[in-house]
Amino acid sequence: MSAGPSGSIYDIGYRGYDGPRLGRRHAFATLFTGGLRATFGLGRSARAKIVPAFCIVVPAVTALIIVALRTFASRFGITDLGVIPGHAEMASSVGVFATILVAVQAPELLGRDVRYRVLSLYFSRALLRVDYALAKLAALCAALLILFLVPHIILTVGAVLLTTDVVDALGHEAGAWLAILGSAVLAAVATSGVALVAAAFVARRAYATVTIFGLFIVPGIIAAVVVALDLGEASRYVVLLDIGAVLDAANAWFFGVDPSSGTWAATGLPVSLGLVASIVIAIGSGTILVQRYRTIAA
Amino acid sequence: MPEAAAGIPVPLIRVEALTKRFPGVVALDELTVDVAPGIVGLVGANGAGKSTLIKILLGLLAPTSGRVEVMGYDPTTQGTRLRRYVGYMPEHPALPPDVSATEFVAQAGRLSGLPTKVARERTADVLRHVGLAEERYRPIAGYSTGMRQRVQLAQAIVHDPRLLLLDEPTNGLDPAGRDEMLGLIRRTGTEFGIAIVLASHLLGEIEAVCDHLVAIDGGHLLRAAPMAAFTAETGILTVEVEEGRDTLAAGLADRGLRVLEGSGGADRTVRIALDGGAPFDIVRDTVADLGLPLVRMEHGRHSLEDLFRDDVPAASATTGASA
Repeated sequence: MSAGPSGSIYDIGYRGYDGPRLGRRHAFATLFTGGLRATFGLGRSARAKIVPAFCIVVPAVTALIIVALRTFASRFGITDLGVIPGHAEMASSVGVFATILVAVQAPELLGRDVRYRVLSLYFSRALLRVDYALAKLAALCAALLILFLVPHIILTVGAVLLTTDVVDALGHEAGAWLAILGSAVLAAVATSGVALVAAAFVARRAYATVTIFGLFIVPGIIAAVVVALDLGEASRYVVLLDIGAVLDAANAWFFGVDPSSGTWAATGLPVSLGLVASIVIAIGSGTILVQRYRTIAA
Repeated sequence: MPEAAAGIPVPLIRVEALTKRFPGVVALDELTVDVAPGIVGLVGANGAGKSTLIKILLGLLAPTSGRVEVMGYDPTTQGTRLRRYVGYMPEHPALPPDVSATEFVAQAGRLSGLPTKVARERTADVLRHVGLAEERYRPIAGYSTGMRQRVQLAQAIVHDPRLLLLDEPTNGLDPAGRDEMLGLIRRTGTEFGIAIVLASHLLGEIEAVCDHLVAIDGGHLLRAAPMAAFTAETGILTVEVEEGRDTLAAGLADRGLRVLEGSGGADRTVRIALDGGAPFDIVRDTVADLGLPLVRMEHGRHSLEDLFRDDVPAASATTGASA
């Protein structure tokens, strides 16, 4: 900190800036890191950290308990713990926490800037409207990826550390990670995309949160009822509205297992259809989000 | 930097036959105006098209037709490059409540292209300039209106713009806060050397701060000229007497002066058209001959308000005017 030639220490005079001025990529990175921090409540009040912490910690603790159970069981020579979830079953239980996180934080990421009219200050800078929308999507996706992957990392580390044959365990785990990453990335994009679209259209935070929960829960109930009533061949496809079931089917496709969603299993539809539907949801919601921000008033 | 940093082109802003239509409303109608560097006032009543013009200059809105150039850039197609050199303060509060001024302004700097470290340093600088001290680390939710307006100004200058677009920057401020904000703006324009376009419907503000003026009304250009031209002397001499106003008016008319209508009643003044001459002696003699108590004789000046009064011609005020 250098004082101006004649000014007092209280007023060092205005200093111009002649250095480099970076472009859209820098602006995108700024919005991305800002969004990621906001999703976890970093740089915000303690209250803003409660939900993100809950959503991260509970699946992580669950994974730790699984590792502990495995360790305990292996002492008694039991290796087949059928009821204890592994990598393939993790997605459906973590999905609940992903829904909670996006329902609470997606309105925070988008609604706040609309409600307090901050958008005009963002759009008047060195970025495009598209950059804003995609940076927010990328931020929420990254947060969900962390949420999804932490339990898998714990399971993998546990499996490798607890075994006597480290090489075999590493090989086994490495094989699973292709499926883990594929399933997690797809679920992260689709889940955050749907939530952000809802948040982009519903500015009031509480309403947006309710809307997001509704989008993830209500179609699931309807689908379950319709499938249970067995109204005919075509009615089975109503399950495609159930985002949870669709993502679960995609997860099953990646791991080559049966879907854990009862609704999907009851329809008898191939899990590859779930994969396709997940991709459609991911791309479709991203497109709607970008379109929304192309035209939103600022 | 080969671009705007190399020097400010003259004119700074070029607007040609600019039209902006919203459904059911024509906000700007074939507006043509050039703006030179300096502190330029953009005046007009509410709804005159000021905010629309500013948003088009920023590239936030696309024009319906016409051409716009800001510092050599087309805002519609070169918006991201242009906006690295432009600061904008909207007319409405636009700050998130849950972050501190420091955090928000630093982010604003980065979004305008400042490297992260530079953004942090300049944030500390500009927040000090606008007069925000310890409170800058607290969430914005707890700030007064005056403090928020300072933060809005800080976010607009954090990246050392070449051009600053201010839309009603004193909105919601009390008189003291208003004066401080105007002082800050004046200082930003003169000491910091940043060109400013200041939109306001408050003519007093414009008069206090600006050295050029662009007046628009109903989306049309009313007039663009240096401030001095707007406050130049009029061709009207006002004579005020304690009593006998009508006698004086008749006496002056008898001596061949053109007395303007529109005063009388409680008003004790007589207004005379100068018509190029300087009839001060005639007035003095008339008043003396009639034995009237003279209060003052004043060569009138235009005020900015005249711009928006249909009955006062801007260029020459030699015709009759009614109050």
